[in-house]
Formats: sequence, C-alpha cells, structure tokens
Amino acid sequence: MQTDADTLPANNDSDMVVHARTDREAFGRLYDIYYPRILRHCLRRLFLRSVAEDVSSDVFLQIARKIPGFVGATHDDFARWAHAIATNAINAYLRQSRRRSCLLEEAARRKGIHLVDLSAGPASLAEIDWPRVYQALLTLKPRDQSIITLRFFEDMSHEQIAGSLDMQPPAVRTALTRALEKLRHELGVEP
Amino acid sequence: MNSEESRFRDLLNEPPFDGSYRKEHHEQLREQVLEAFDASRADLSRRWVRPTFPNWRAIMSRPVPRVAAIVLAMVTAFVVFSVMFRTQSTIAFDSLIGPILNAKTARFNMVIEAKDLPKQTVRTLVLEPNRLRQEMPTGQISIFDNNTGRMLSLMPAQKSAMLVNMTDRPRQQQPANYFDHLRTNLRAADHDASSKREPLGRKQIAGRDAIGFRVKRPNGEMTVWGDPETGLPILVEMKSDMLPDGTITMTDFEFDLELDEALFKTEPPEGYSLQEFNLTTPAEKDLIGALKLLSDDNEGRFPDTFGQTAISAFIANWVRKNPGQPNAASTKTMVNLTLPLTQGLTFAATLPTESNARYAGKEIKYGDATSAVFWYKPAGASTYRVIYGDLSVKEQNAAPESPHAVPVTLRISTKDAAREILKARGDQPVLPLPQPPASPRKAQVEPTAPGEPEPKANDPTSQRILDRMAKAYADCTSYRDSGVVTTRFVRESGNGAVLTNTDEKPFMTAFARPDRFRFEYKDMKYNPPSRYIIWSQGTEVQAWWDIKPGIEKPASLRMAVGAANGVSGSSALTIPALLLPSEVGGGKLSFITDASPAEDDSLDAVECFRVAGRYAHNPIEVWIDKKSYQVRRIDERMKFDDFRTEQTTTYDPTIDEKIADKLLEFDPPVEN
Repeated sequence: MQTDADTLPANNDSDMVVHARTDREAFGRLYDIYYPRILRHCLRRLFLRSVAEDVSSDVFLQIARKIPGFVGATHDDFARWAHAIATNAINAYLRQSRRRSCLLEEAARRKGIHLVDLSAGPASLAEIDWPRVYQALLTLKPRDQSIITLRFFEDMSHEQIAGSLDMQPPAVRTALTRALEKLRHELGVEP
Repeated sequence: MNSEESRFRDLLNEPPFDGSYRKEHHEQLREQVLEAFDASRADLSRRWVRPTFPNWRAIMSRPVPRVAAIVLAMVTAFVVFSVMFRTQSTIAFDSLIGPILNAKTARFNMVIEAKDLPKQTVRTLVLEPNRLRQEMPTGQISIFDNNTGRMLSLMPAQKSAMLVNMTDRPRQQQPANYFDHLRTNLRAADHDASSKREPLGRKQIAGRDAIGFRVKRPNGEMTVWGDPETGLPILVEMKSDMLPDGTITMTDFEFDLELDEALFKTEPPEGYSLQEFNLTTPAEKDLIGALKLLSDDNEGRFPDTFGQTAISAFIANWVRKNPGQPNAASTKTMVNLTLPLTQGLTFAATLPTESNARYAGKEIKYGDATSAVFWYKPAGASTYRVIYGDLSVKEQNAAPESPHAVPVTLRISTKDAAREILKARGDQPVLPLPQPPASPRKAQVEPTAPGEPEPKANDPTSQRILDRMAKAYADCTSYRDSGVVTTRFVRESGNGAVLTNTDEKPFMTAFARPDRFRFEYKDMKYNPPSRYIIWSQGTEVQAWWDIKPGIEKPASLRMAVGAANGVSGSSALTIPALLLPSEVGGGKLSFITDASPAEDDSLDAVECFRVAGRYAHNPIEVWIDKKSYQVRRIDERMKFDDFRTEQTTTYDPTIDEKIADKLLEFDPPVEN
C-alpha cells in the first residue's frame, strides 16, 4: 500500500495543468499527483476499497475525456474540478438507498463496526464514536454528505467547496450549518 | 471555523480507516486513463462543433432578458437534465454483477460463436436451484435439472424426446452450465486479488449508455457491460476454457421474473416418443469398452489422445458412413454409440488426482499385450491398475513409463471433426454439451491449445519423489501446518520489471484422520485481515468467510476447498487434496508435468529435494523434505499479458502427532 504526501503542488507549477490539456506526459504527472487524493476522498465516502477504486477509476476516465476542454489554469482549479467530478460520481453511486444500505452493512461487516439503532434515542457525547457518525452521515442527502466531507476530510475552505459544488460561498456556509444540524439530529445530540 | 464546526471536527477529522492506495490499481488505471486521454485528443481533432451547455449563472447575471433565458431553459430542460443525469452516474463492479449472482430466476439470450461454427443464438432460462432450460433456434429444447440429475432434450418437430438419467453420478460428474460457470467466476473475481479486473469506461450498446469491466481469470475472460443507472447487466461476453476457441455473449437479461416451473419439468410432454438413457457412475469397464470402440474405429490403433477430440473423430466417421439427414433412429444409434465413449472418458478424466492417471495409447496397436495404454492407482490402493494394448488389466507396483503419457481431460475443442462434418451437411450444429465443472487439472494441462508444447512425461526419479510425497500425506494419521502464500505482482515495462504489489495470505491446516478437518487463511491486504474458515467432520461441512453473511454449508469438502482455492492462493486445496485424495482430490502437485530434479538444497536446516516442472504450462518448483517427504515450499511463476506473478508458498508441517481439539474447532466469530 502506498501513501501520498498529501501536499498539492504550488500554484506556480500551474504550467503542468495547462500542458495537461494537450500533453500526454503532463497529464500523466497530474494523474500521479491527484490519484491518491481522489481515491482517499472516495474511500472516505464509500469506505469499501473495491467500490472506491471502481468509482475513482470512473472519475479519472471522465477527467481524461474532458481535460482537453478544461478551462482552469491552476492546481486549485484542477483540484476543485476533480473533486466536483468525484463528488458527483460518489453521489451518483450513493443515490440508490439500496446501495447506501448495502455499503454500510458491508463496511460494518468487514471493519468490525457495530451498527446502532439511531432511532433508539439520544446518545451522550461519550457514546458518539466515528462509526456512529459515519452511519449518521450516510443518512444525509448526498449533497450534505459532500459538503461535510469536503470541509472536514479534505479540509477545504468554503470558497473551495463552492467551486467544487457550483455553489456560492455563503450558500455553502448555510448548507454546512444545516447539514451539521441534521447530523446532530440524527445522532440525537442536544444543541 | 465556527463553534458548531469545531464541535464536529474532532469526530470527523480522524476516521480510523486506511487511506493508502494500491500501487497495482494506480498503475493499471494510469494506462487506461492515458488511453482515454489519447482517444479524447483524437476525438477533439475530428470534432468541428463542440456542444456546450450554457453557464446559467453567467446568463442570469448579464443584462439579457431573463425571460428569454428561462424560456431557453424550459425548452432544453429535458435534454439537459437527461444528459447530465447520464453523465453523472457511476457504478461499481460489485453492483454490476450483483443481479447475476443473486438472481433466483433469469432469462437471457446466449450467442455462441466459435471457430468453424456458424453463430447460434440460444434462449436460456434459469430457475434456482440448479435448473436450466435452453431453447435452440431449430426448436430443440434442452432442460437440465442438476438436483435430480436428469437432462431432457425435446425435438418438437419430430415430437421426440431424449431423457438422460444421471441420478447415481457423483455431482462433480454431472453437467455444469455456462451460466453457472459465469457466476462462479464473477463471484471469485469479486473477491480474488489475483483476478485482473479493469474498468473499460463507457460506450453505447444498442443505443444504451453502458459502463464496462473486464475480468481475467486463469480459466477465462469475462467482459460485463451494464446500465450505469440501474446496475443491470446489458451484455456479458465470456471466453472460457469450456469453449477454448469460442465466445459466448449473453444479452437481453431479465432477472427475478416469474418463470413457470412447468418449463423446467424433465418429464416428456404427452404425445412425444421417448428414448431414455441411463448414465451410471462410470467404471473401469466403461473405459475399456471405450478404448476398444476407439481402436476399432481407428484401424486397430488407439488414438493419439483420449478426449473429446477422439470422440468427435469417432462421430465424424460414423456420420461419414451413414449419410443422410438425422432422424430419431439415427440419433438413437449415435447416442447409443457415443454414450459408452463418454462414460469411459468421464471415468478417466474424473479420477482423483492422486491416482496419477495417464493415457499413453499413441502409436500402440490393439492387441499389443506389452504396451500400457492407460494406468491409474485406485483410491486407497498401493498398486496401479494398468490397461495394456490387448485391454488386459494388470496390477503393478509402479506406474509404467512412456514418452506419450498425458493426463486425460474433458476439454471441448470446436475443431472437432464431427462439427465440421455436420456443418458441411448443412445441419444446425448442436450446442457443445456442458461438461462437468473444471478441475484444476482440466484444460490447463491438455496439450491441445495451439502453440502450446505438449507436456512431457516426468523424469522417473522426480516422479518417484512426487509419488512418495503423495503417499506420505495419504497415509498419515494426522497433519497440521502453518504457512504463508506470498504473491508478488511484477509489471513488465520498457524500463524493466517493476514490483507493483505483494500479497500475503497466511494459512493453517489441521487434520485428524479419518474425517476431522479445519483450514483457515487470512488475506492481509484488508484491515483487519479478511478470514476464511473451512471445517468438516464426517459428512458435515461448514464454511465461513467474513465478507459474506452467515455460515455456508457446502455440499462436500471438495466443493468447500474448491471455492476457496483461488482466493487462498491455492493453499486451501494443495495439501488437503493430498491428505484426502478421495474426498477432495485435485491440487496442483498431482499434475506436475515435465518434472525433473533440481539441485538439492536445505531450507531452514531441513534437507530438501527440489523438483522442477510445470503446472498448467507455468514453471513450478517444489521443495520436499528428504526425511518426511512433506512439502516445505512451492515456487510458481505465472505470466499474464502485461504482468507476471511470482508466488511462494511456505509450509511448516507436523505429521502424525496428536492435534489439539481446539485446532479442529469450527470457530467463526459470533456475528452481532
């Protein structure tokens, strides 16, 4: 297993992004830089490696087909664009509630997570662990999941999220607040 | 970050998951992505108008009449929505194959194409458990019921029916079918890291958007195209060792539909004439009868190989001598003639691997009492049964030696002379009869594939070592081991070999004769490692795999270890096949060809013989303890299109010592 350094290239390396539209080698380098990051994003949303690999494959095949028409010039532009495609692909996968349910059950089984009955009642803060949060997260609408994931897992600013999800930054702030309220409600945590 | 966000950060920021990536997937996808990039560049150069969708925010913020934009939006809404919806959908491999694996009923068209055969389309209906109906374009209908061991063939035009009873045949000698074959391989591919699985992107199939995956398995290749919205398969293409030079394409799938049980009845309809045949458990006498028939048909010589090709040549000769369109009487005659051949072949090809069965009839004339045509060691026997050219049978302590000795398999070849003759006569060729399920030796060692060298007989010294090894396991009272299968995936590139990934699968085996058995392996690429347990005592068999819910009860230990063979890197089968040759059988160590001695060596201070040879055309080397004749290590190499694997299996064995009860318990974790 490989890990990435988790550092985006500086924007002054933006020639690479511009060249990647027309140059195979530059596009290959761009792929090498962003593959770990996009796969990890898929893993965090989809949990199962086989599913995350399939979805990330679809993401990069889409990027490869669309890159000649990509109008961005910097790594920030590309990152936003790539995350937008990934987010759409993940949400499309999760759009079917049957898949969400299967994914959760399979993830729980493989990872030894004990699922809880979220409707059973409020939990104390001490009882809220990550599996419980993940379970609650999957009950939210895909867009809300995307906002929370990009904000907390990818550490994106409101502006970057807005760029990825084609929203205005104030709308992202509002949506994030509401999504966290819903998450808190699902977890049964008092405001 | 506001206080609400801060409150959740601690919980969300450090999820306990492995965010690393597999270099193998990275590299494989890289090639596909660059191919897609090249294609998009080429496409761009051809395109003279690039369709673009409006940037709605720009339009609405500019001083153009907003009403116009809204009208435009209304006019194009449906198109835009549908296009966007399509392009944003995605699907994973497991979703695509789910309907195939889980369907209780299915209906689809199956197109069979093979070299020298005209294309034929067969309507196929599946009803679980184990029932299959095939409707040919000629009107002929075949119904297989593997629960009862009956196969009914109906010819409505002639109002005739043929019923084959296989009720007392062992399950492994009953016909499988292509749909089962597909299911088995897809299921294994979904869980087996050694399967090469690659996304193919999207394309239009019959006007539908489809997303595809290709799966390469040792016994075939499958391509699955499915609807990105529903996950339902649109087209499945299969190349299988069951039909070596052909392609099977499945389309027009319907799953879990209402299917009338009456369609799968194996009772002939009223008014049909019936010919009934009983296929009993094949025995040695069937083999002798088959060899006699084949030599009679071949001017007193035994055929060069004993398999489907020899039987097809026999049928071709019969057809040549009996020209004319087939009718009920000629069909019955032909079936009566070929059934004994099939029985004899099935006996020879399904003998347990430890029987060391070999056919060596090439260049031998019928009546030659000094040349061995076929030999095998019956289960539990210490001597070989050797059939000579005069078809007498003698018991011998050692296997005969012959430069022409080869294993017998059930592999189908569409080069069969019979089909060519049927084609020349203008008949619809019959669908190749599904054969018993592939065993590890099947198709992989038969020297019929073009360009493949014929396997050579083993060097006598090496063969003796391998025989002693098999005997050590077959005779032991108890056995246990622990070991590791280490598989290194190496990609060949222009700059030389690159190690892309290493898989480790530790395993443990425990066995107390007569019938207490437990095997467990772990797949370390998962976190926590994936576990697979197989347990058996008496006739009870149970299996548990942490990626599947619940406990399975396979029909036999042979089925249980067979199912785990691929995913375990063969550790589930290799030694158990030697410990329980009759109950399990198979396993690579009984089917080594071209065996020759390599220089002896020591392994952890244990002096070992080293036997080098080939298994399934791939190099294999076995390290065998000089004192106990137990396997200490197996080295294998396999070559694929653009990568190769180097696999080492190590064993730390103990034989004939008391096995603690705890090691023989079926102990899957309690599921909440």
